[in-house]
Amino acid sequence: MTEQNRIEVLEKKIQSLELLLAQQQKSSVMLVRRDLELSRALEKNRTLDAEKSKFISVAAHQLRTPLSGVRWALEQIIGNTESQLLPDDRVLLMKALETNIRLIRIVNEMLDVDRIETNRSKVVKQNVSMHDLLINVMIEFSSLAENSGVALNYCNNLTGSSDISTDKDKVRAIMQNLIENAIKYTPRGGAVEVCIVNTDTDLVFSVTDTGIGIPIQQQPSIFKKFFRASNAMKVQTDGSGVGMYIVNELAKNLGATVSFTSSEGKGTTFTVAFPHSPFQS
Amino acid sequence: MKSAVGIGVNEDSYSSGVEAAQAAFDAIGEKPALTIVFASVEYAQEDVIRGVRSVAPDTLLVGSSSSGEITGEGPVKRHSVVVMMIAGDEIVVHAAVGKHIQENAHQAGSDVAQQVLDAYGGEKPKFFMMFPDVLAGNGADIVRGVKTVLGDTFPIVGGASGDDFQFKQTFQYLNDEVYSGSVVGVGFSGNIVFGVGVKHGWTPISLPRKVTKAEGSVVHEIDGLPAISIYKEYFGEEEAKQLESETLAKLAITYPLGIRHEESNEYLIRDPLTVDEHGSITCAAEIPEGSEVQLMIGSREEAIDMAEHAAKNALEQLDGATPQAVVIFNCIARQKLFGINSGDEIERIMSVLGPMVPMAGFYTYGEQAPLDGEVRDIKKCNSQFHNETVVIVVLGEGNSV
Repeated sequence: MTEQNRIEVLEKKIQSLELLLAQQQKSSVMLVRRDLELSRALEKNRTLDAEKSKFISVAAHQLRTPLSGVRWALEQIIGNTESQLLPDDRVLLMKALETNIRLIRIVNEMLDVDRIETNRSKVVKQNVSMHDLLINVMIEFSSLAENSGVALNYCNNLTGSSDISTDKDKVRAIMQNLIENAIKYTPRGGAVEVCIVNTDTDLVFSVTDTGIGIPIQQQPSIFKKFFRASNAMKVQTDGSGVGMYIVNELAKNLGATVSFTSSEGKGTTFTVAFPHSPFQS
Repeated sequence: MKSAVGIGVNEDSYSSGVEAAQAAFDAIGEKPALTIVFASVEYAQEDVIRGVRSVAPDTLLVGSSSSGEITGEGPVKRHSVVVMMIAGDEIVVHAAVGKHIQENAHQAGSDVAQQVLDAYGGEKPKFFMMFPDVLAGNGADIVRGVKTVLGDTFPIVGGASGDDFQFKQTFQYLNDEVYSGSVVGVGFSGNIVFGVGVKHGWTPISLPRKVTKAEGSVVHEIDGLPAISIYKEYFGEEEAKQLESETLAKLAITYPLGIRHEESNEYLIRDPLTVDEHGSITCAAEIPEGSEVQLMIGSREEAIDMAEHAAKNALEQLDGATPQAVVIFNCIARQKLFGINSGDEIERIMSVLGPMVPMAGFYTYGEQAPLDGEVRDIKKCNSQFHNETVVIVVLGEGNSV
């Protein structure tokens, strides 16, 4: 190849590289603009999320007082043994009270979410017997289990004390959510087993049910706010979808970890592990 | 050595300060040697400090206003006061303030460092933590000022104060006083070991361009054109119009300028803060005339991986000591990059350091740390001013004084 030919080849290569560079620059401008678009959308999303949380907080606070007033009034009427209520009216009032209590519960869940999101969920520690607390919560749900035709069993695998220093109300809320969910999503004739065990590092309690399970593709979303599994919505139409979010956030607050295994149509086990020496802050 | 963190989210400034300090004090259970405070500018700053001081009146207090407070549980989702208390009989801490950054940033840096050095009787501490106001002046100049006193190869860490992404006025705290346009610094010595992780993960998207005219932190021209041209070219017409009416930082913080640094594996990043009518850009620290800059872009995946990497680096430097406290200085750009998922980054960091270790930090307008977090080979320790970076400082108990 002559010198002239080599120069021509090199010039062509340079031209092609310059073309590639120009294309790359054009692409990078397009990429930045698209990225910018997405960033703006993300920021808008963040603002909307904050506004939505604020709205829920205000709405929940505003709703709680009148709802409590309605509950008080209904309880007074129903509880008044001297009233001349017709049996059918009494049934209707009982239904109204039941609905009212359910609404109050949903509002309280929203307030719990608000407290968690605004870091107002303070940890107040005391010495808690997890065994006693678990028994207590199970008694609370025994009539729901009975009415639902679900066996509620306890297995105590403790080899030592179940006392830990933690926030009793928060642990109770975790237990309530898990046990109630297990009963609600287990068909009549099924069983819910609540177990407690201590390991070298943790005190662990688990709730195992023979319920509907969580579809595998939806399992990663189970701790997301307002998430309800598709099969759960078919079984129970009402539900705010914040229960598992609250469980997970409260557990994090306490330095505990929540895990689960589930098989659709067969059942679910939720496990909560509390370290023996949780967070100092 | 012990530490604990408290959060205050009360609507009242004083009460929020009390709440945060009381929670930290209750958890630590003894008189702290040092109280570090990070607070939103939504609060009356003096009232916050009064509140904190009402709980811990006789201890050394340092801190800064922020653009978002962080604890081990993640970024606090609303305005708050975060207080970290550090206790230990054999920890020696001294703090001071350097004022008038606007008049002379370098002098403010050397002033604060000199006062701290004097408090140690001329013996250098193990490392120096600082909270400068970079809305008032060149952040890199402040770092250089500190280095003139503490040495060219000295570990400096810190975060530039924020103001909830308003870019108007930031505040620095020292004991009972609240300053602005200043730098508060604190030296750490005694029975303490530390590790530093420094990473960003931003990648160049443009070809290198030459800074043809610059003075300090103001870049006038790039490739002979007004500096703002680079943003107009990349952002397009519609966004470019907003550049004239909005604070540049609000629009361009996730697209900073990067400078190659021969001593670092990563680009040194400069945040664009404001633009003037001539198209000159003021950055959080200088970009020297003649240097080559590139427009940078971030990705969440890369940023989160780098945060984990930084946490691992910091932990390794403890040489097996247990982390007792973590302080994080995290650029506000990273919060914007992650959006509502900014907790993922903190979660990843805590998964490396351990969920139990108390952590406090804030979203900053600039970070200070040695390049690549090099603090072991002190001859290679080159502390610099960074942007878009996460700086993780892990503290542990040493074997002896």
